[in-house]
Amino acid sequence: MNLWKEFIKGWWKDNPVFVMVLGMCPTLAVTNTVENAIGMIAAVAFVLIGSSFIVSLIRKIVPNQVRIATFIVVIATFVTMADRYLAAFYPSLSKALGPYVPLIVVNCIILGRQEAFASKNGVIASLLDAIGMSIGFGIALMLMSSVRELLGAGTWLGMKVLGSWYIPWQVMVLPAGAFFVLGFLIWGFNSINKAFSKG
Amino acid sequence: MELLVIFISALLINNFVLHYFLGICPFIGVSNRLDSAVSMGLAVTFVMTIAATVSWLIYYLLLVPYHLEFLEIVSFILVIASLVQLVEMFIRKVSPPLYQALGIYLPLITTNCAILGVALLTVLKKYNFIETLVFSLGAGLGFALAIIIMAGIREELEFADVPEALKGAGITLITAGILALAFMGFSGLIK
Amino acid sequence: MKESLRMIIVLTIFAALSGGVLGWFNSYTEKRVEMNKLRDLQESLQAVTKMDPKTDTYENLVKEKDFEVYRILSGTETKAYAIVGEGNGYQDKIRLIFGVTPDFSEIIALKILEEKETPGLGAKIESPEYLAQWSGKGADSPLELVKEKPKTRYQVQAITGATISSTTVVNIVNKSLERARKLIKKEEGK
Repeated sequence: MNLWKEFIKGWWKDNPVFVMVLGMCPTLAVTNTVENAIGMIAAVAFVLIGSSFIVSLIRKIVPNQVRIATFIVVIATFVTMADRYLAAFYPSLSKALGPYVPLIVVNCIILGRQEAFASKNGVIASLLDAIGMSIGFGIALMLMSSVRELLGAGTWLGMKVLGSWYIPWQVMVLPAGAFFVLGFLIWGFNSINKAFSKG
Repeated sequence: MELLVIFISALLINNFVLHYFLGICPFIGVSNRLDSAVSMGLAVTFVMTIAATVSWLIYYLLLVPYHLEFLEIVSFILVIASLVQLVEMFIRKVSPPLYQALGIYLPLITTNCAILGVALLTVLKKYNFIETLVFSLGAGLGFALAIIIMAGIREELEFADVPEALKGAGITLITAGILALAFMGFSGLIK
Repeated sequence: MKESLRMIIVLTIFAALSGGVLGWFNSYTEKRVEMNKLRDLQESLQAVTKMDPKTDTYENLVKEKDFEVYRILSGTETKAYAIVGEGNGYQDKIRLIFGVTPDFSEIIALKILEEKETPGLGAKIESPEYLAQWSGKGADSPLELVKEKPKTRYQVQAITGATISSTTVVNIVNKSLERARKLIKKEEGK
């Protein structure tokens, strides 16, 4: 198995957000500012890497019929830890992300990777798969949140980028804007892929 | 009437799909045909109401009295997963035709963030039992409303000239955005 | 039978492990979370009542879901009251806190705790310019919302384009003042 390939597939070719169209809820919900996006990326990465590690370790001793239930218990444990950690050490971020951190437990990306990869592969490969997917997720969220915050508030990570001549495009930080930006990004992503596969 | 406010709010103003972004996966996946959208909407409403109320009972009758609130996430998701299994078995036994219509969507509902989302939100908003019931009912119907409207639009889109790269998720999301904008008009409906 | 037993054992072990890990982790974070909540409350009380954290104390008189009252004490003398109120705004609930003088004659300051109003419009109720006008408003008579510059202490200027959000804030204050006034009178009457 080519470990490098497993690592980078999540960045572009099998990007969890743009290609597999998984994990929509957090992508749309917390990308209104870059700061929130970074918090979510950290939380998802923690849960994904931790869960993949554990699932890969225990994959040979879990009976097949209860594997989904076991995965869910593992994932839920990591999610609870992430949620409590944020509430304790980053309270304002925790409030901003709200119920979306606990919702990571039903994020299709996490369960999807356990089912498709971690439960069938060794620990090193599973870790690389998880880290790669986290990076891909991170790329997608940084892209989304940068566009939304820049156009919707004229700032990036809270720092003013566009001068006062810019009237913020409010829609961008509203739910509708999230749908639009993701839709257009997927359009762009697919178009680029098509252009490269034709040429 | 506070209960009416909660219901209308969950149904229209803070629509679960178009405002909270919960239930997007099935929203994109099942909204391409009107009849499957109706089935999914009903299935979700049904499971959502039961799951939210059962989770509420577990939280306030079991977790809180024993200071086990930190087990909220684990217990809720296990409850939802088991509930969906039970509902599926129940429907299969009691009404085979209903199972034909709804059955296949039920396993999908387990990972539907909307179900866990409702349960988490009712605890967050500190709703009592009746409020939880009304809220989850409104939320489920709101999801059904959004997905049915979406299916209607998508069936029309089949005949439109959509660019290749935009087909599927792309155009669905943009349509959802326009729908979200439309639903924003419901804000301020109740004072 | 052996297979089912194995399933149950494995699941139970993992559930127990999960519970154990979370229990330990929770005791590690619990105190911080409590501290954060207390610190937030103290900051809010300070902001709306000019409470001095070094010399003043506070006590909680009422704590309901949508209504809280705190008494700020300098020694045994009541320095101010802080009231937390809630109401339905344009998008969702608005939750705020404001301080009043002990005789309920004047509002010291107002702070928005939670709001999900429209950014750039209703959300302006959190802006310093809007909040500044609340200091010094009369608290012994119901406040009314006006569109132009207020002429009396009992008028509050609305935010242009955010009438519903502005109305809600005034309504919450009026309602909460009434409730708090009745409560304190009953307490003092004892």
